[in-house]
Amino acid sequence: MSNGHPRLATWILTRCAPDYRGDSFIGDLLEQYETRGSCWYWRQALGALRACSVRRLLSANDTTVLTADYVGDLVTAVTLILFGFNQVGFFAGLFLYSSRLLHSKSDHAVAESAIGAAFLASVIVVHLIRTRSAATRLRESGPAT
Amino acid sequence: MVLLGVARPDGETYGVQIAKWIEEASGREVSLASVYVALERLEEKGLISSTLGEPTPQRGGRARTYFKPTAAGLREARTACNTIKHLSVGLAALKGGAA
Repeated sequence: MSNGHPRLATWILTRCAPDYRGDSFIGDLLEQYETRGSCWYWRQALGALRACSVRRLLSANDTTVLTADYVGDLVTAVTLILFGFNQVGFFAGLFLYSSRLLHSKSDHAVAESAIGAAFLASVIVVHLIRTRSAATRLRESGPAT
Repeated sequence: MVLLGVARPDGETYGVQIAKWIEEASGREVSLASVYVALERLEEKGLISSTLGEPTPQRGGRARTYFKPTAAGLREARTACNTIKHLSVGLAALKGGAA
């Protein structure tokens, strides 16, 4: 076994893909590392992570999927709020969440609607503040010459 | 392809060996993860069985998992070979000539 193998990739595999016949798979990678090199090692490790994630997602129960969905909603909401100071972010958020609320069929529609409503309210507030500050700036700068 | 790799008459085999055979046959790099995913599915279907070997220092103290086909697996491999043969009969492009 080479001491120079990508330890980070091995560590990630051990932590994130333990059910991947764990030791055998990592052993195979280490065995081939000498002849194939670091790039190959990383490619294989990332391939394993991707395959493992897809399998976990496919075998996940509804609660896990919904939790991931909520986390995704929150991340999207925060991202769009941060970028909500421009028009594109505002309209993208409006479209995204209006369509989500209209087409929601899950049993957790109430929670989903609350998150959506909170997001909509926040982007509207941000938009109003932005419009108001722009108007104030215009007033302070006086009439155009 | 993975089942055909396991069913080769060389006795028990393991992930790296199967990946190498497929690479030699196809001329393309094979993801070891894909091979392992396929092996796991084949084992779930009862087409192959696995045994754990001895850990070696070359592999960082990790053991190899050896695979061999079950009787059902061998039947399935034979069927797959025959199917490929039948499908390729009559395809002029496969006989070395231009399409």
